[in-house]
Amino acid sequence: MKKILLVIEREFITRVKKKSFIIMTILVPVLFAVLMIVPTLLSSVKSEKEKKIAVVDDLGLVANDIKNSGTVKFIIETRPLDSLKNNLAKDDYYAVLHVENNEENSIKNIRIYSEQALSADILNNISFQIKSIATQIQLKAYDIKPEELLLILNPNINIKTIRIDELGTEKESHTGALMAVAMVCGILIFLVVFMFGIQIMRSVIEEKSSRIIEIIISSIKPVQLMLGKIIGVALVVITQLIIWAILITVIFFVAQSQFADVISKITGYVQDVPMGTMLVSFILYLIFGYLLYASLYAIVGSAVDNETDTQQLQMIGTLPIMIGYFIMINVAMQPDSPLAFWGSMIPFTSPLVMLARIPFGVPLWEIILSLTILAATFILFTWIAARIYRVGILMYGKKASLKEIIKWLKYKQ
Amino acid sequence: MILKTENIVKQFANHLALDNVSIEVPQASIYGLLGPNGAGKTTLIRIINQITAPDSGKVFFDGHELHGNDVYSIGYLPEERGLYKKMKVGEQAMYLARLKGLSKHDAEKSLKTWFEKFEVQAWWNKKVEELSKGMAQKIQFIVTILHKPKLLIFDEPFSGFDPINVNLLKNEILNLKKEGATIIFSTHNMASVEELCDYITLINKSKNVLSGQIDEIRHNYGDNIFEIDYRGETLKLKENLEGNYQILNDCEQKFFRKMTIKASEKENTNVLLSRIIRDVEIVNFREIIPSMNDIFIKLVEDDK
Repeated sequence: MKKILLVIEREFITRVKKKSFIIMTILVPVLFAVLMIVPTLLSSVKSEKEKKIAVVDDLGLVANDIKNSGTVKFIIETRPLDSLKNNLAKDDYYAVLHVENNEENSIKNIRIYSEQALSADILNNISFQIKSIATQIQLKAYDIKPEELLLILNPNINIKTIRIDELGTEKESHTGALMAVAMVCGILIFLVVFMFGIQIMRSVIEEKSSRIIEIIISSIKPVQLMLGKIIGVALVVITQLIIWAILITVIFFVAQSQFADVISKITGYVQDVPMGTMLVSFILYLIFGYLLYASLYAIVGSAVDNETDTQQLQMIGTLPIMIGYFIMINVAMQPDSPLAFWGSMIPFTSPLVMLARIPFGVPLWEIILSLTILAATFILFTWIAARIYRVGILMYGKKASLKEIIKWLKYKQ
Repeated sequence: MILKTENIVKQFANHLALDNVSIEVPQASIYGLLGPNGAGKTTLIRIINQITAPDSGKVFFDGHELHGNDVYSIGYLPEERGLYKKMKVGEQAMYLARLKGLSKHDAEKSLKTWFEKFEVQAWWNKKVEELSKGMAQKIQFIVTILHKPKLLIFDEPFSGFDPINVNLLKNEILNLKKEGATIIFSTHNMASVEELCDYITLINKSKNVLSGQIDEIRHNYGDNIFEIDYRGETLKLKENLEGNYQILNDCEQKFFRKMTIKASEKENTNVLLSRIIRDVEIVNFREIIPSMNDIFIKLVEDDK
C-alpha cells in the first residue's frame, strides 16, 4: 500500500508540475470568461464620434419620424442633393439619405451616399426606421391599429410541458434546458475519459520505451504500479476539475451584474433537473467510467512499444466511447428509446448515456443496476488489465497481436 | 546458501525458457551466470526478482522460500535499463530508493554520500535526458545498491561504461562482496568473469549445463597440457617422457627451450616433474588451464 502511494505521488506531482497542465488549468476558465464577457463588453462599446446624416426627403414622409439614435444624428436638409453629395466632407456629413419620389407617392427607393462604405450598424438602423415608418403609413391607410396587427400576427398562446412524477406532483419542465444539461455532463465525461485515458496509455508506453519498467517492477508488483498510475492520474483530473469549478464560480460572481439575467434564467430552467441524483450519478459515472477506460488504455499501452504502434489497438478504447457519444446525442432527443435503455446499461457506453437520460427522469433501480454493472465490469477489467499488463510491459521489439494478448492472460503469476 | 533454486521450469507460449534449472549461490560470493543469448538467464533472473513466476520449482532466499518482502533485500540492475527521461536525477533516485523501502530521510542521506563518491553531485537537479548513457548508468548502479541489499543481481553491468568507470564499478562490486553482499553477475565478458567470479553456472538451451567453483571447473576442463621451459638435452627428456606423454611442440627460445606436452590421462604433477628433473634443468613449469572463454565456446558448440 505504501508503494502504491509512492507511485500515486510520483504520477500526480510530475503531471501537476508540467507546463501543459498549468496552462490548461488557467487557460480554460480564462477562455470561458472571455467567451462570456467579451460579447457583452463589445456591444456596450460604440464608436464615440457623432455621425451626421443628411436627410433629403422628396416625399416629406420620413423626415418628421426619423429619430436620432446613439451617436447617429439625422439632419433634415433642404439643399439640393447634388451639392450635398459633393460636399460630404466639407459639411462634416457621414452620409446622405435620399428618399426618392415616385408615381405612387410611397416610400420605395431609398439611396444612401457616403464616402466610406456604410457601417452595418447604421444601415440596419436606417432600414429598420424606414420600414417601420412605411408600415405605420400602410396601417393608417387600412385603418388598422398597430396593437391589433400584433395580435393577428402573434396570437398569444401559452404552451407548457408538465411532468407528473410518481407522487403525482406536477412540475413544469423545460425540455431544451434538460437536453443542454444532459449534453454538458456527457461531454465532460467523454473528454475526461478520452484525454486522461490516453495519458495513462502514454505513461505506460513511456516506462516501456525508456526501459525503466524492469527496474520498477523489481521493487513493486505490476498491478500496484498500474493502480497507482490510474489513481494518480485520476487525482490530477479531480484537481483540475476542482480548480476549474472554483475559478469559474469566481468569474461568475465577479461578473454577476453582467449575468444577473442569464443566471436567473439558467437556475429557473434547471430547477426541475433532479440535481441531487444528477450530481451523485455524475461523480459515480465519472469515476467508474474513467477507471474502466483507464484499465483498457493501460492494456493498450502495455501491448506496444511506442506510440506510433498504438493506432490500431487504440481503437479498443476509442471505439466504444465514440459509440457512447453518438448514442448520447440520440438519447438527448429520444430519452425513452430502447437504444437509450440498453446504451445506459452496457458498461462502456453507460457513463455517457445514463447521464444524458437522468435529467428526463430515470427510475432509481435502473441507475443502480447500471452502476453495478459498470463497477463489476471495471473490477473484471482491472483484473484482466493487470494480467496482461505484467506480461506486456516486458515484451519488447514486436507489436503484440490481439491473439497473443489473450494468451498472456493465461500466464502464471 | 543465500539463494537456492530447485528445478525451476518456465514455459512460454512456444518455447521452454527454463528446464529444471537448479543453482546454489553461496553467501558473500560473486556468482557468474553465463550462457549464450536466449539461453534463459534473464528469465531465471526475473524469477529470482519475482517479476515472473516459475511454472514449477522453488526459490529459497536466505533460508526461507522467496516471498514478497524479499524485494527489499535484493538489488537488481537489469540489462534493459533506463530512467524517466523528463524527471530530475535526484527526484528519480529518491523515488526508486523509496520504492525499495528506504525512508525519505535515509534515501536522501545515502544518495548524497554515493553521489559524492561517484562524483555526480552536480547532476542532482539535471533531467535525465541531459545525461550521457554512461552517466545514466552510474545513477542506475547507485540506485541498485543504495538499500544495502543482501543479494545483488547485475545483468551486463559494464556495458556502456568507459574503462575507467568499469574499474570504478569493479572495485565497488568487490567492496560490496567484502561487506558481505552476494552478487549474481550475468555477462558475456569472460575476462571479467575470470577476474571477479568465485562460482559460475552456465545455462545453455534452457538447461544448467555446468555449475561450480570457477578454478575447479577450469582445472577439470584442462586437457592435461603442460608447458616446460628447460635447459639441457632434448633427446634425453623425450626419452623420459616416452609412452605416457605426447609431445606437441618443442622449440628454441633465447635462453632455454620450450616444450609443450599432453598427458594421456590425468596425472599427479609431481610424478611428471620427477621424470623431467632427472636430466634437464627446469626454468619454468606450468599446466595450461583453459580460459572460461574456451570452456564456454566448447560447451555451447558441442551442444549444437
